[in-house]
Amino acid sequence: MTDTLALVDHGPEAIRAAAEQCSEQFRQHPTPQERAIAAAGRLPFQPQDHYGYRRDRCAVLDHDEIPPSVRSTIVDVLKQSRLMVGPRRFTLVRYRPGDFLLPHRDDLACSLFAVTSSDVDGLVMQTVDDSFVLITDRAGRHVHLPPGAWHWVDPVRRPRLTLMVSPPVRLLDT
Amino acid sequence: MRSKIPPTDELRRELLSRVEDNGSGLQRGPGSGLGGLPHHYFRLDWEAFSLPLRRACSAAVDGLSDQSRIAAWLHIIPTGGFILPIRPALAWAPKSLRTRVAFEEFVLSDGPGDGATVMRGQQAVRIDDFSGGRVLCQIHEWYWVRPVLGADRVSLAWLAPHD
Repeated sequence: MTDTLALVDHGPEAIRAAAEQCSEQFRQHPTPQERAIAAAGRLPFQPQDHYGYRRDRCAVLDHDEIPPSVRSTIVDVLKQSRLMVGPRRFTLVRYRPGDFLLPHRDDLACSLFAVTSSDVDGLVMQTVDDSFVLITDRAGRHVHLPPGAWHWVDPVRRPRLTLMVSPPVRLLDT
Repeated sequence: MRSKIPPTDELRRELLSRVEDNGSGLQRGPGSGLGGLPHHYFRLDWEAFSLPLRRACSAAVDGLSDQSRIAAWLHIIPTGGFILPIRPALAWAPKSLRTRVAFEEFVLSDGPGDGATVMRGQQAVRIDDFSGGRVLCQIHEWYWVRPVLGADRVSLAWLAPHD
């Protein structure tokens, strides 16, 4: 759920601008090859078996592929936001209109930061009482995603960018 | 089935007044979705509709009559409610008909950002709500309604023979 952790005011814009500089390096998920394999297998979408990105539609820049200058911007923003940063892995996930992330669960907890804002797009996730909420995007907003929680992103209406940080961040001690 | 120009405001008012008149007919949405977790919606079955209400629904949606539909009901999803990913035809149709029906929904409310998502092959398709909008979900496909942000989401849902 959302909490008091958030990116410093200028953080989302700084990350968005840095991501824009390396927009060509984002990898489409699934890759055309992965999509072809999924289609050839004629396996229908099964949420219980859905791990990874084979049937999703978004673009990802994984930690090891993020240019050092962009990674440095992310670290700076997290430090300025007084959030624990090291050692952490970062993933930038970009959605074009119509892109989506199908319902699934992850084994590991992570922090998700919205880098863009929208009144209609966002993350749907399972809560501790087994209810579900739609957390609309507010640039800088933090969502703690616990391990095993169902979550998804419905096809988005507007361009969307999120930063995933694993393990989750926490506030630096004062 | 095709819809005529739908008197959706009128129909929504009538459906909701029917619910207020006889709340006992309204039940928590049965079954479960994703991971066996419970949905959060309410349902009023066609059998509990008054005769005028049945007529109003049949008039709003061509062919939605006692003869052609397999099951029909009213969905009310309160603010914050949701329908988890489910394959409606397989989950809500009588067992003997599960593989021969499609699920359809006639939306009677508006809500910016609210609506359903259906799978069509490899694609997830977002269908935002507008009064008079239609959602079609084929036999084996998944369907869900994201948590409602606006006012109560009201729709008429039914299972019909698959062409």
